[in-house]
Amino acid sequence: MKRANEVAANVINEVEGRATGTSARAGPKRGVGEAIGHHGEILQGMFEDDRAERVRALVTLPNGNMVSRATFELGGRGTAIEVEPAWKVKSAAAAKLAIRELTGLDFGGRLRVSNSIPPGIGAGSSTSDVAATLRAVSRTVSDADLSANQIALLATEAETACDSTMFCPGTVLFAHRRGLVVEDFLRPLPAMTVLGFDTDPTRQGIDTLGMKMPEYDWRDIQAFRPLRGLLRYGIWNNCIESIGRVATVSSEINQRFLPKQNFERLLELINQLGATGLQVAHSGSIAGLIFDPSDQSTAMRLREGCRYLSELGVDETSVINVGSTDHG
Amino acid sequence: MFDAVDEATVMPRLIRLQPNLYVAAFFLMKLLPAQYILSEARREGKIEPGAHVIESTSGTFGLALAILCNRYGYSLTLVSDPIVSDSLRQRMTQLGAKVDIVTQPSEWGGFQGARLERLQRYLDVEPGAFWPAQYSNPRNPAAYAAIAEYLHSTIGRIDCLVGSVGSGGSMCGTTKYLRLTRPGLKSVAVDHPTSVLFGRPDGLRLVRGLGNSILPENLDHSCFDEVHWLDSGETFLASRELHERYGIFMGATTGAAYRVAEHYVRHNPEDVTVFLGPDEGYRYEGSAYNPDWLKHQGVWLETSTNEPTNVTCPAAGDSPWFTVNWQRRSLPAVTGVASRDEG
Repeated sequence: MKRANEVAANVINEVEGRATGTSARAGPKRGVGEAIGHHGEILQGMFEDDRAERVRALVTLPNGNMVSRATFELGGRGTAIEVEPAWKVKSAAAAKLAIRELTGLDFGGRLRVSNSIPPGIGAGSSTSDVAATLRAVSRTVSDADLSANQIALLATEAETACDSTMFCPGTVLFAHRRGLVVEDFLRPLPAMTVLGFDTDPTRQGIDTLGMKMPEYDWRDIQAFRPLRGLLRYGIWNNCIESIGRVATVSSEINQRFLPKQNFERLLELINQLGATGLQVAHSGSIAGLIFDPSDQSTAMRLREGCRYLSELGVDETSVINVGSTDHG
Repeated sequence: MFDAVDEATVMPRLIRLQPNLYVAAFFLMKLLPAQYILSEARREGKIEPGAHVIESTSGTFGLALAILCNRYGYSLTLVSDPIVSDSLRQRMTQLGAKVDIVTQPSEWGGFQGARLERLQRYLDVEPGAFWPAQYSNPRNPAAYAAIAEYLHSTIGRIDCLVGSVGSGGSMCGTTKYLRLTRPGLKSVAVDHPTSVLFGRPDGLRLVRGLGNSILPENLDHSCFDEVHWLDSGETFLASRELHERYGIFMGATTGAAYRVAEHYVRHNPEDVTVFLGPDEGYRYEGSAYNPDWLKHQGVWLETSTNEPTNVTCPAAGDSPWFTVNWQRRSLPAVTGVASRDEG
């Protein structure tokens, strides 16, 4: 951001060069970016930041199975961003923001975004699209990649709220409506195997950003404190059991605000299957049972889990290996 | 770096005494609920600089309030009784608090009852004054969520929590927040034989802050798996032993908790056990740590009984150290038990 003038000058040269056919390059300058999606959260609620102010914040559970990919190239008509598919307006807005932020000017371009994530179930498709776009744009107009903090701020500006996957492989408590880190846990989540599924298989979907924000009272805010402490311990000490317990209680609190179908049964399944906990999308419908990948009986537990879930009408499941292939 | 003494000293030092035995040693544990109650009152607009705070207290909660009211510019009246030590009263007064001492105990609630009566008269005259109400204000136990957070961060899994009970705030609060993620956590209360908290008759107590003459609303008996009663001799000896063995210089309420926690971990060596240490030993240099005073009071003890007597009914206990397997029952459920069994 500091070298905006220099960057702008380079970009102007580039664009002019192409327009007059004098550019030495073979084709238009283009950048590619990728970003992973998420599978809901381990913890979400209201917390005090280091100025003792209360903010809504979350700890995302990253999902390396879901990837967004964006390609951006300068040019096109005037200052407009043409995006394909046309309905990905947030990605287009993010591209515009990033160009302005990085160059100080409005350049136009062509953006192509694709992902492997179904929208509306709270799996962060718009955030990973936006993060992928921001990376692609920055690689087009700048030599240096955007930092995770920069991506977080721009993504929040582009879509009002986002998740914390841009900080992977690190783990943070993220004020998702402000784009700021409340606490950096300084380490990745330990390796976990999550049996993921949609608690609402009819896939009615939820307008995640239109959902009314939970009204936490002082009792809730106090309850989030020990959860944050145990999560901190779990991350620092690679303790899946601690993380599982935190996720379960967070999902119990969230049940008052965005209830999941068959929730009591899901809680029973934790013990029945020997899972370490249950995590949910706090503004969506997906959920996951957390298991220890180093346990030899995990594969068997996953199969049993699929059977019990199908009794609840949940026939589609996925296995998410957290902590192995996370990267943007 | 901190902006004020209360922020610098509110959190405990966590010390490992044995592989599974930890103490959370506070400079002044009551700073935590005092801070939380006042900051919530500020948040709700119930209090601002120049406000008048009134409370009934014989000790550490009053000192905590005095420190905070001094910082925030509130005027403070503490209704206390003759038991308050001169040094404590001096500290409170130097911090700007007015200490009003009731001289006669009331018929129904001893000195604690008399203090609350006088406090009520203050509030009748000045309805806008702020009363933290440590014995009934739910924000007292709620403040201890921060301790649960700290214990989790540093130790992770905790199997047993032990502590002395006075208002019920620290033990019921910390227990409740630790149990959010581990409902099976054992919680063990320590009381004094002449305290009414767990179903025994009232009487004079040499140990300050341990036990009570009235039942506070903040005491939720169903928190506790076990309750122990320790007499003054055992309590003071335990405080000295904690100092002699580990160099940890704390008050009598810590000593009592140490004795019971050490016993628990001896019998349950796999359970990660934490006990609370509400304040430091300086206040007790003339008493618990002074053999002459102890002998004069008739509470000088050189060896602990080491094992409590098991009783099923609180009223049946008559040894220096006895215990009831409380099993998270209510007070009537425990004291209504007909059989009196000892052994």
